[in-house]
Amino acid sequence: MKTLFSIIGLLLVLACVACSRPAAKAPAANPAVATGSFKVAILLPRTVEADGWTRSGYKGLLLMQRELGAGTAYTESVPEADFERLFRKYASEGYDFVIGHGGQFVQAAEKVAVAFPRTSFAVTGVYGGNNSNLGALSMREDEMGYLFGVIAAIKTKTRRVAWLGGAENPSNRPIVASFTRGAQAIDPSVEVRAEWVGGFTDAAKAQRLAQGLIDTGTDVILVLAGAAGTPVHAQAQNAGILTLGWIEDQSSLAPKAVITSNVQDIPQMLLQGATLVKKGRWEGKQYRFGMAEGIQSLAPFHGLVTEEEERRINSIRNDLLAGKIDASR
Amino acid sequence: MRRGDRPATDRKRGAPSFPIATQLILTIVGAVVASLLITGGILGPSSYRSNMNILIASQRSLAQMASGKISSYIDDLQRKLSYLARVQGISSFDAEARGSLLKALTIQNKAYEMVGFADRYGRLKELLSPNGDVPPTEWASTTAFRRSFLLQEDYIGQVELEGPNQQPSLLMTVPVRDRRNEVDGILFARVSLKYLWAVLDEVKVGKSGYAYIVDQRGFLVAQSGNAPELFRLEDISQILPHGVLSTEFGADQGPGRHVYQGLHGMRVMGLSTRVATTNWRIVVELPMDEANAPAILSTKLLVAALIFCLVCSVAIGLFLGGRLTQPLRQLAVAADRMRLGDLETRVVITRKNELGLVAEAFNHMASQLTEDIVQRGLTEAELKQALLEKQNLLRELQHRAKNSFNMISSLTHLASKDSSSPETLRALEELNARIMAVSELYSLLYEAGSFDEVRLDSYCERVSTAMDGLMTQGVSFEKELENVTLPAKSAAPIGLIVTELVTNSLKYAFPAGMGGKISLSLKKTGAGALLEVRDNGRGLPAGFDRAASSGMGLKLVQGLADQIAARFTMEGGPGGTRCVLELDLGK
Repeated sequence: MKTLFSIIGLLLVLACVACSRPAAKAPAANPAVATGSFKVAILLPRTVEADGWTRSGYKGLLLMQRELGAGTAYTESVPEADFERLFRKYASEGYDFVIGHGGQFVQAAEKVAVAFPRTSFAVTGVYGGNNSNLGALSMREDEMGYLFGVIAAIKTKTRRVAWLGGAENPSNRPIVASFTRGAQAIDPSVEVRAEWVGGFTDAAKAQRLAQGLIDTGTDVILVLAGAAGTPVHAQAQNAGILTLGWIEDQSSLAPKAVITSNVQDIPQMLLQGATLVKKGRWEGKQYRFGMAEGIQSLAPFHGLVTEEEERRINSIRNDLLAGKIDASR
Repeated sequence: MRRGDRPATDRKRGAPSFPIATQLILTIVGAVVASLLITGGILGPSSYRSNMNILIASQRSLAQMASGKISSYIDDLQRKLSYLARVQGISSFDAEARGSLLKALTIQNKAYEMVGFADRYGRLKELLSPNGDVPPTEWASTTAFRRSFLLQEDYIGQVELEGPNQQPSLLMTVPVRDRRNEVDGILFARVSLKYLWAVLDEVKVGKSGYAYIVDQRGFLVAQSGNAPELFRLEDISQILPHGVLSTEFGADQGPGRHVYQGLHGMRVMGLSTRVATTNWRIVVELPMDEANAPAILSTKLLVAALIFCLVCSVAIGLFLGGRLTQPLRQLAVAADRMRLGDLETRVVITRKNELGLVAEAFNHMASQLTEDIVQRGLTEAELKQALLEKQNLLRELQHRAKNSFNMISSLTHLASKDSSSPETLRALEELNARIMAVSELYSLLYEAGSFDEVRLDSYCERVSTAMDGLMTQGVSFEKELENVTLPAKSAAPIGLIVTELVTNSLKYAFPAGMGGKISLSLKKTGAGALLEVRDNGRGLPAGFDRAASSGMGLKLVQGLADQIAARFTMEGGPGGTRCVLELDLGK
């Protein structure tokens, strides 16, 4: 009987441990949620609940489980100091594919990739790859940046539109450029301002910057600042101006402000990368996806553009798709 | 019943308005048609959908197969180029070494119409062009260079008609690296798309279907049944149905959504699928004439089956109807013959079914009926004989009664001749009158041959005539009699009443030597008849009270009136006496 109680007690303790979530502040390593001969791990910049970008990485992992039967693991809220350690940890544990979800992981990945030539590494963002085992998965975001510039220029009344970004990096600098090109292709006199929060979590700073834009007459803001940008949509709605969302349809945050959003099927993009790895065809190069591949698309307009405006926007989108407009220049 | 006579039922009512045979035929035809229509209604659309789904699945399979081949082809060409891009330091190789590598590409696959290298400034450094293609010498401003060098991605351009033969081809570029593994230029290749025609020609879409490839711009870039040498790029984005270029057209839609105006202007059933490496779309179209052919054939077969089943069901209905109604008609004819008296009629139905049972029961019933009718005839004859004998007996009794009364009358008459007393003589005469009154009734009944009814007017005439001899000098007797018939049993009391009243008038109305008139009238009234005996004599004595009268005659009259439920009244005055008997013949 004593032995029986001991076993039950041990099982209860194990169950409690299994059900508990790791603390959000510390790097939260999650054990493999499914096992398989093919294993994938991902480093997430913030918690899964924090913002759409981080959540998309986690959803990509779940998709790999389902579609590829992959064994998966992830770590949330990884601080920059732990990037290299965690890449190395997963590589040394035999994971076939280790992903850093964001452009900020490039340098750490480059260092570790050299040490683990049999492991495939990826970052999500603009990066040319190491021509060996570290590649990059990214969106052809310049095309959507251009299209959003077009939409902003069509909707602005003050001829002042703005970009509110998170951290300035090689992945999103080209978006600002294409956003500016798109807006000025519609009206060369449109003034495009760019503000950077400096990260993706400081919502207060994002709101301060947004208020500054509002105060100076900006009436359309493209918000690409992760969790920091989330409250900006409601702020814009209260101020009576318009916004453009990114990653997922953000209309629910401010239905009267969010004209449309760039809906990025990042889980599908990650799945395509993992599929290449599983087939042994992962090359250390830049893989890019966009509207043509169905990885990136416009969310519904939710009644904030007229039919004529919608026709005009769709026509330009089709020209981008057909290569008649080159958003990168 | 003569041959050819129709049964009385038919003659009286005509042909049945809704014969059983017709009902049977209609029922069978209705059941057959309904079952065919229901089955056809269920199976037809289901079969049509199934056929369309099979066609769609087949088309999808063809399109996906072609897509896979083309995708693999482009991927293979791109991967070989990409392989060179993975060669670290290729941009730093001397021209001969790099040229050898590029030449190996053109040898390995003849689709490489032209391959070359441009450095980081976009300057053309190497070129192999077996077919004489001329590339741009300055690449820096091209989209391909920007995408591969600046954005470091593998690039596939749009389909263009290039080279000496102006055949469809595709430009591919990849970034290449120096010895430090830095992107340092691009490799480019223009590949022939002739293979697309080979793939499309293998896509057999029915007998009249076809396949073609559309690029992202909506340009037709390859088409089955069309030589690549003669091909010209064509913008068909306005011809294609909405959605062909932007979605997996037809992937998850019902059959109806696949039908549209096809490339050649015909209604087609088509779908498209994406070529993964290039984002082109392979469209497979099958003209609806061919797509619908199985459904049209099924419909024709259904109609043929419907007609065949209709004919069969009518024939079966007629046969079964005949089998059912022929015995029934036999029964009707037999019943009619029996009605006309042919009791020996029988039906011959040998079937061992319900009709056989009915025929057997009919024959049994006919036999029983015949026996009953014969028996009843015999009984009727006996009854008639008995009645006749009874009537003869009654007539004999009437005759004898009349003769007896006549004999009694003669006896009283003889007795009166011997009587010297006037009172006695008078009493005998009155008695004789009463006897004659009854006797006349029997005479009348005997002469009329009637036993239960008698003409009252005739009877009164006879009774009054018999009293003519009693009339005194100067008294006339008038009669006015209407035709009235009444039961014989009531006649004798009335005859006696008439006798009594006329006798009373003769006795009391006219004193000796006084003349006058006695009248007898019989009139019909609403409920019966009114018999009146009136005289114009001296009337009733003063203070006459009929009830208190001691005379036998009036008592007899009242008694007889009561016997026949008649109302007797009497009134008298200076003008005479009036006696009335109201007869109620309804009772």
